[in-house]
Amino acid sequence: MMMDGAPEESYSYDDVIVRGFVAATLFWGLLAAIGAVFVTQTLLHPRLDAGVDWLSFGRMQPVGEMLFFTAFIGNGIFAGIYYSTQRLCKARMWNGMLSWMHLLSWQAIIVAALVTLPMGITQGRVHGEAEWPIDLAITLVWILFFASNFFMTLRHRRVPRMYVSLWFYVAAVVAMGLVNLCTLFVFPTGLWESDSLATGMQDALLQEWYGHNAFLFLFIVPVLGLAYYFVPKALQQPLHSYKLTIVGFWTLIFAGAWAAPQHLHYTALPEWASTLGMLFGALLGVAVLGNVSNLLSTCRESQVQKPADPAIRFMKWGVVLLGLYAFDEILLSVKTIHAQVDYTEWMTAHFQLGCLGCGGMLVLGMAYWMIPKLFQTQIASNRAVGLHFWLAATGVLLCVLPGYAAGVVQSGVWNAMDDLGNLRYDFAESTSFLKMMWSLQMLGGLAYVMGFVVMLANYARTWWNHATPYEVPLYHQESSDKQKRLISSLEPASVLEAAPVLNLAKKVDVWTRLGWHRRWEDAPRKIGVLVAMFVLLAFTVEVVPMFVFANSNAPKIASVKPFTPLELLGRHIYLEEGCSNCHTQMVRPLMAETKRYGEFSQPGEFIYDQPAQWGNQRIGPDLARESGKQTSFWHWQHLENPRHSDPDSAMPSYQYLLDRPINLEQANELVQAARESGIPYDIDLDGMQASISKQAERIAADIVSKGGTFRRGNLMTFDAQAVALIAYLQRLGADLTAPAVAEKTDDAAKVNDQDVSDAIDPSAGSDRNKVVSFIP
Amino acid sequence: MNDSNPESSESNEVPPATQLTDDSFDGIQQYDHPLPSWWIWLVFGCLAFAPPYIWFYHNGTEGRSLAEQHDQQLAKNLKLQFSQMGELTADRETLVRFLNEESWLRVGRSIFKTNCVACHGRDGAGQVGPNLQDDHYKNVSDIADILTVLNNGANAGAMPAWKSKLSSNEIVLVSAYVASLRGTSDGSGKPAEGRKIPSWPQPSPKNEIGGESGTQG
Repeated sequence: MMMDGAPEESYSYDDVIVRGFVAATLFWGLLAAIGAVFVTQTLLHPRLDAGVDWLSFGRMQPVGEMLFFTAFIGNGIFAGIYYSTQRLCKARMWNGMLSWMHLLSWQAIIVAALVTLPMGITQGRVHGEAEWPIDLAITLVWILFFASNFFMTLRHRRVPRMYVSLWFYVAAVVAMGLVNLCTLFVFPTGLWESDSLATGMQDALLQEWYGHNAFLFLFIVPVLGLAYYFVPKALQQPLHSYKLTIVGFWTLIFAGAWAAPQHLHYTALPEWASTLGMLFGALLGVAVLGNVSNLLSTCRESQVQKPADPAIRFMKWGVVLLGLYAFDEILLSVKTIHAQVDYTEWMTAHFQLGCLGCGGMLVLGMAYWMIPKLFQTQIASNRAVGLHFWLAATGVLLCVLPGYAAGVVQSGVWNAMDDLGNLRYDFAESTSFLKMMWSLQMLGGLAYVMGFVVMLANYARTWWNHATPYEVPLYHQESSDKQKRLISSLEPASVLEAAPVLNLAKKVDVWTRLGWHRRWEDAPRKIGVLVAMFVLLAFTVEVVPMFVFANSNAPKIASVKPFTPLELLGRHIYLEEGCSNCHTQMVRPLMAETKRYGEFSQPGEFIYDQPAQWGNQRIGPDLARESGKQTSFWHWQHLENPRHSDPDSAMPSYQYLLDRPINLEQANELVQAARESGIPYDIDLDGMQASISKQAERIAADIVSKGGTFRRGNLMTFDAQAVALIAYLQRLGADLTAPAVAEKTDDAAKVNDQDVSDAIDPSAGSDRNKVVSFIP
Repeated sequence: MNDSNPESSESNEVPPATQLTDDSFDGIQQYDHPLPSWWIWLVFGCLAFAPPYIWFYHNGTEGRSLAEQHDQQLAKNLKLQFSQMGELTADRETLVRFLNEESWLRVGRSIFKTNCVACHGRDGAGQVGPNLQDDHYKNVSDIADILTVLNNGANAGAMPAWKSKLSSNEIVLVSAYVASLRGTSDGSGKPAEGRKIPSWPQPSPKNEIGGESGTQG
């Protein structure tokens, strides 16, 4: 293709930025592994007293997730993208400054989340806990520093066609830019405070829509892109099938964004959305499997029987685990299977298989392969790499297998019925078994940490021998303008050319040989636009109708009323402490579940929930019908020391809630925020104070009359934050069974005596009797 | 160790060219093997499965939504539980009769486990609420008083009223189970509260429940 007399230009690659991202990957990886061990530790040894409030599972769990996902895998993916994009484009990153801004701001985002999350600064949204300034920063950094730089590099590429890795990167960059916007459906009420614009069912769907697609486009898609580059590269082996890359890629993009509702099977999400999630979820899993099979076939075809480079072993196992992950994903997309294992440890194991397993192994393999090239020397010790592999593999195994086992046991215990149709076990019996599993998982985590220590030592020794100064090879090629026009679009002739068949058949034959796709590979913009269209289409069909046709998707229930100011305060504490990391608020239409908790949840119950707190783990029991199940005094004692009522409880003590006073200012802000989002609170500041003290005194009286203390230190019982939380808990599920007050013509939201007494009266009506009428 | 330095943008390994596509990307070449047939079947399976599934579950036929399926199961379950029972009269005699009905006591235990263990402890050994295994009772002097306490609550609401939360059959069964707990104490439970009361009356032998333990729905 070299043309005589064409002007030549030379270029080199920016490896400094790759070194930066690799260093960040290893640093955060070690921290993430330590964090994971620490989080498991908080379950095994829940905080016994009020000493440190951030030291609880509810607050640490999002931190651990963030470290693994955003910090470790995220940086690793960027390192790989910056390395391979330059080489696949034969072009230096367009703007070195932007690369550096990306690197630094990403670390700043991680540090900001790392500081704020344990302080209880959280949106309380599953998978998107960090407050709005961090979300905004992620969106801006992604678009301004990363996407722009990436696309300008593509634009200046010296290779006209894009390799499959680049398609995946384009998809990730475009889709993630869009999906990030889901986190911005909030309005800020302060620098570190916000309220979600969506409520209840709609918000729960938005949360999962973000969570699913962030995992897909920030993790699965770029990781596949990386594997498509690094696996054949490291094996020095041609990729197995070009056709399969095309079909695999587009199937993945076609199905991917639609699959989000599969995480909400059997919840109060309207069933049509759940069905879409299931059907596309299965297809998504199959699509990932196709790509995995392509990569594994490449490994199998490799002539090298036992690869000398141990980095390859990491990558290979990363791909194998990705296959397992996809298989699990297919299983979980099926409604009935999902219903069995949802909220159990199975889901955690699934996440760990993704993060520690396929993501971790692939990123580590990639790092091991790049390190000697980046430092332009040999890796210090190949045996240490082998050792790390075994430590990491043991770690993954010990985290994932007990998790799956625990999930099966939990599900069995929850659903077990005897021959008379009664529940066989009470809830606490499902958690006692978990402690053993968590111990095993902690061992696994420790192995993973040790692996990182070995790696860092190896890394440091390799770095010590690095070439000084680094050699920056210059490459030469004729001017890119000329090169770009050399589009290699040969239309293959059909094998049916001579056969007596319709022209259409010949055309179909030519089409299925996918020659036309080469034109697409020249056009990153086309791929990007198509990906964006698929994502937006999925959003339009699945999410938008929930808002537009809110009344038919979440029919209003007359008896459901807004929270009182005290309950709003309690709800705020519930968010801050991350209670939803262990407690769901969702009774699903399953026999065992309605027997245990009461009537299944309706979408209309949640219309005042900002944000939704459906939760996705049941280490503790469901709370959707908590109202009246226990006395306020029981809650008071249980918050002070959960081991008082169940010696095996894994819940941390929340003694400090008993010792901290209610903040009226905060209550006012919460009411203001709720009012701004359209919930009519017909109440002024004085009325609010009166309402708060009235409800709080009622609960405190209840506590004291059962034997609770009148005051702790200087704090009166009715002034304690715990009372607000109890008020909230005593409200959960009360509305559904409360009689609809028809004669009350004034504003529904008006907080008066009636509401308050309904909320805390444990004997407020029930429909257990109504249920009996099902008997024919 | 032959790949210790694979700076391979110039990788010039040439595999059999017959199946290779014409391009090479940073040294990576591609075969053009056909799609694996198992995978094509999976994809078409997924696509073909979708329309009939949607049609079956979302064409509006009654009894196919998750909620309706749940209600059917619930009806079946309750039928199983109450089929041979009818509406029980909540009185002394019924309680005494069920005191010796092992299988129905299990129904009572299940209700107890769902609603009562939080205060009365597992197996009624007592926690916030009193120990139900010993011979001492605070608000009960006769077996029928258990029904009263359950229906109306006691101790100023510390023991809630269950009248509106449980069906009358459930109240009878759980009362019978509570009564059956008496004398199961192993001494490790909560210390006794209230006064000691005489033991429960013995059931008269002719009192039999209509059928047997109702395992068949």
